[in-house]
Amino acid sequence: MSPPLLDIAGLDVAYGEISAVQGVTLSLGAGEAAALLGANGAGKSTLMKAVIGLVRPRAGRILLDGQDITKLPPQRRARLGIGYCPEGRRTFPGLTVRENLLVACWGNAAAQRKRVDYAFSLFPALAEKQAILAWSLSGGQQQMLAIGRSLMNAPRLLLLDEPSLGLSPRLTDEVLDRIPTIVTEGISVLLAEQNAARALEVCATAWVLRTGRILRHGPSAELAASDDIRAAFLGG
Amino acid sequence: MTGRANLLNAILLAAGIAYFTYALGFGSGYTLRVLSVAGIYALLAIGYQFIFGQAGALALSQGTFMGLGAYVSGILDTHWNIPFGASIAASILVPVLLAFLVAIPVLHLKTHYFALATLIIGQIVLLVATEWESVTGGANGIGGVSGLVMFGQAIRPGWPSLALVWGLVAIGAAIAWQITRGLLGSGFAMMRANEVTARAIGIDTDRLRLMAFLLSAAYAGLAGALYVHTIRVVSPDVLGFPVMVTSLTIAVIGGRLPIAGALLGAVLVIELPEWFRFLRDYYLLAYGVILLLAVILMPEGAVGAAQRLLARWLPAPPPAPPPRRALPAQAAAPASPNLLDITLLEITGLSRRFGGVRALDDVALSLASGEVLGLIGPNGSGKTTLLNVVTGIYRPDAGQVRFAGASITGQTTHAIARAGIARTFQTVSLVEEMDVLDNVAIARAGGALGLRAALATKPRDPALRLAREEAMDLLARLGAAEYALHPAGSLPYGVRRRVEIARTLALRPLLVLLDEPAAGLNETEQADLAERLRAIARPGRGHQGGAHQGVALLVIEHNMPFLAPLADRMVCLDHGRVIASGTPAEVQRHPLVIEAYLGRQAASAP
Amino acid sequence: MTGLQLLLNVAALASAYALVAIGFVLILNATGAVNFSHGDLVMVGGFAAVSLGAWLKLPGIVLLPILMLGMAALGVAVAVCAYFPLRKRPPESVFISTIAVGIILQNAANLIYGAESRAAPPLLGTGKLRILNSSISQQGLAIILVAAGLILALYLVFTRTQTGRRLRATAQDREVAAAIGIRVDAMVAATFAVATALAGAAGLLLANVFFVTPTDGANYILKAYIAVTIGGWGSIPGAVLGALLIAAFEVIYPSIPLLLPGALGGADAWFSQTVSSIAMDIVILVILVLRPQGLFGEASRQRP
Repeated sequence: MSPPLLDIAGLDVAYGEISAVQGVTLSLGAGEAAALLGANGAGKSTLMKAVIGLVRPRAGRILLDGQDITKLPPQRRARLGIGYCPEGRRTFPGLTVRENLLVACWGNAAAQRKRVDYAFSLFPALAEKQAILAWSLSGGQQQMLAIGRSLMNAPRLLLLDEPSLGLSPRLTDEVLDRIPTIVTEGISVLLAEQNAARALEVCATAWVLRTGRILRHGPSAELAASDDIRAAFLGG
Repeated sequence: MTGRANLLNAILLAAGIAYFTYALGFGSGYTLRVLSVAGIYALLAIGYQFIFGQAGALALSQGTFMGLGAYVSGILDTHWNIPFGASIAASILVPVLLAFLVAIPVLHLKTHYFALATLIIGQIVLLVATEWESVTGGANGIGGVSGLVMFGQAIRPGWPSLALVWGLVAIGAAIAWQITRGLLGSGFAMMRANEVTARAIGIDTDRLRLMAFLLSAAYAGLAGALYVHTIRVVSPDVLGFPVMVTSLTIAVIGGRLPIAGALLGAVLVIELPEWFRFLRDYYLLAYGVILLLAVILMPEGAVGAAQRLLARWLPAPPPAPPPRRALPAQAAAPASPNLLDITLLEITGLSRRFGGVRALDDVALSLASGEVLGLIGPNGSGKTTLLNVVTGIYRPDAGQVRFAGASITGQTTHAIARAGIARTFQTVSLVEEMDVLDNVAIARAGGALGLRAALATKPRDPALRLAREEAMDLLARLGAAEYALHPAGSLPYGVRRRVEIARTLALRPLLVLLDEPAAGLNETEQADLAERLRAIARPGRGHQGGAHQGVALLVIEHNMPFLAPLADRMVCLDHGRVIASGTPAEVQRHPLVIEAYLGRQAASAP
Repeated sequence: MTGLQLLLNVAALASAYALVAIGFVLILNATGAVNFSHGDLVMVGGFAAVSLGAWLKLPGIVLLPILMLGMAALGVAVAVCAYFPLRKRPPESVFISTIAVGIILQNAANLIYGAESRAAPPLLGTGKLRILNSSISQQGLAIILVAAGLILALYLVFTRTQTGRRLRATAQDREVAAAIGIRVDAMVAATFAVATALAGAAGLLLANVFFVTPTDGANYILKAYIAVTIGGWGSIPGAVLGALLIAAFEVIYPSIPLLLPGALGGADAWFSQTVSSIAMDIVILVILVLRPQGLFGEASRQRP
């Protein structure tokens, strides 16, 4: 078996005194799509931010394809092959759609154009809005732009933090349905979602978080059929 | 004021006296005059610390106020022969009047705009002073101002003037100390820590900021009057930006401690250039370098750094906590003896948009007294927005909020807090340097923060003692009594949350809104919190056995195992709309709720 | 004075002020902090032009690139001393540290050059041209062309180059910029460099017509602050518009007696330079109170 692309061991992340992630151990192989499920406050976003380096863990280790990235700043991790799509989209509001994509590319002008075309092939709706400033896009379009942007550096690992937030079910479908396409390119995807049902449909495995710890882990089909998910969110 | 701060003040005082004695014995007339000027700047800085240090507002107007006081006093003296002693009142009142006029449109502006507005007003005053030659002497000013005169007696330059100046500094310092050491000082501290939270515990932050601004103008006016009679010339220089910069530098070097800081800062700032005179022309340059180093290396100022050093050598033992005392029977509520079963909170048709997003969409819900209502919903469904609208942080676009029968829609946050609605926040804001007891006591007194009360604060002030005793009782009810005299910054997270709840109860509310109270707590702490909240809502169940009236609770939570056993009823929001309402069991199994949280497929699964 | 001459004076002054205001906004957007030494940096640019002119004896237009390079280096030094150590503190700290830097610059200039005003060499020449029956100063025209050229160059760099896009992205959302691989600290330092280079250019342009003294800084920072506030905090086009309005007011108001000779009787005193400043300050204050978010509104869409 090939070594995992992402290997997290014993991760502890705290904001001051508040423990957000405790003792999380998780791994993801190349070309694999895994869902990270849990209620709000379970630690999903914090875990994502720890992987990209926007927060520093108190303890634990993160390996990317065997390389220890635990102490690297986010810029370095991005260029080592991690794409990050933050919670709440956070496109650059004063840049156009095209500029949002270009700014995340690394390489000469020809390479940049190829990557941008790839983004438009994934999300044709964006191609029409190339010259529009990002702040005036709708929520769904911004989400597509944010995902496109996170793919521009040809990452090996894509982190998607709650892409369905604030989107209608139809737009959620449009956005999440791209994930299998992305996976076929050989990109691993870690998808943090509150919308467990859809997440389980597009990802092969899932990890369930509750108050910062891993509650369960397994193939999506198994978890979808069990009551654990509902219990984790709604109790009773 | 802790014992350690008093010790530091005593040390500084001793050092100051020693320095003075040296100067008087060995210094020349010039040295003495410089020391007088230092005193004047000390007075200016003590005043500045009201608006800059206490209220935390970056006002750039202190130089203008000082200049105004100088001009008023100088003009009254040269044109109408009114000596210093008789014109003090005018030199104080004119800047205060300008501050008052300016404050109304400008004080509520955000930091940068406020700073700019004060800068521009300063410019206008400077330009007027330069232009209005007939009155102000124009760019050259007016010379021949007489010296200091008090009660008809001329005060000679040299040590008599020095004594007068520093005597006034002592009085000014004493007044400043008296004003800020009691509940008013705590009120300012809370406002600096988090203004929204301060309003939510009943503090009228606008009024506090105005008070601070007027006080700073008053002190500056007096400093200006002293200045003009010491150097005996009035010129536009005193209105220029350099005076403002000096004031700011003293405040930065002195740190946020109002008295010791201002004194130390003033002496350093005025004396330092003199000591550096041997560097001759380079001393102003060195002055800039020192300011830069000070702001980088000493964030709390020199006095703050000294305090930290002192703390390492002499850790102070905590004094014994004051005795507990039960709250008197509820008097805050309206006369009705049986408040149970009335509709306490009624929300109808509430809507609010932010940009294109409908955060609240025609929300209606009600809460009876003594009831616990759980509010759930996925991320971004509008729960916190609802709380913010109810507590007056946002105005609704449509709809009404009625509390105990009266409409509170659109009222200010602090008024709503004092009417009986308290709330907690997702992030707990406490004044970190203040001890836990005072953090809770400040809510008890929030409505009564006034200048007169502050000036009247006696060392054994009964109002303060009562507030502290009641705070102690509340801390005991929340199981945090042992932390009463610890600084709030040293608390473990679970205790912070309990202290915050104790603080909300200090408002004697009829309704408490809790925003994710269980977040960040481990399972033991959650169980403990649930138990205590139950006791707060329904005290009859033999918890403390006191005559405590039940408090209605509205709890936002994601944590179902915590919320479901606690709540009498639940309401679920999604995309700003109410999608389900009923008993916890009903809501948890409601198909729309399941769909909102888990997605459509899960809802239709068997 | 003809209308054309007046217009030219306004345009020239506005161009120089625009360079100052743009530099101020760039740092504001990139760091969220007010750089109080920006005005003093303009003054330093003016004195640097004086020295370079005395040393190299070349026209201003040739000195300009050399000056801007040196000023860019100074900008990075200011960032290192006054901004980077205070990154994690509240913005008032940077306000104060930049005030300190301003004091240092002002007194250093005072030590080196003394308190008298100096003049920098003109861009090309000090002659006059005749256009449409009016006598236009060469320097005024040159200022407009140079400033316009610089602003155009800035625009092209910001919109057409990858570095320019990265600078803008860093200013709009620093955290996400880091997460997509941008070296944000380098971008902030570069922003300081560009802003200071612009300030230096403005200093060179202004120091020929208006001369330069060590205490000029306070005046420039106030104008920049006002321009940015009127135009909308954080908006670059707004800053340019604000600069234009200030320049227009400063030039036209005192000229009213000349434009309407005799129509105002003896009220000439109401149109002195000082009263003009007072009038402008009052207008600004009114704008601040009635519409604090500026004429363009706070460029909040630029900041998430």
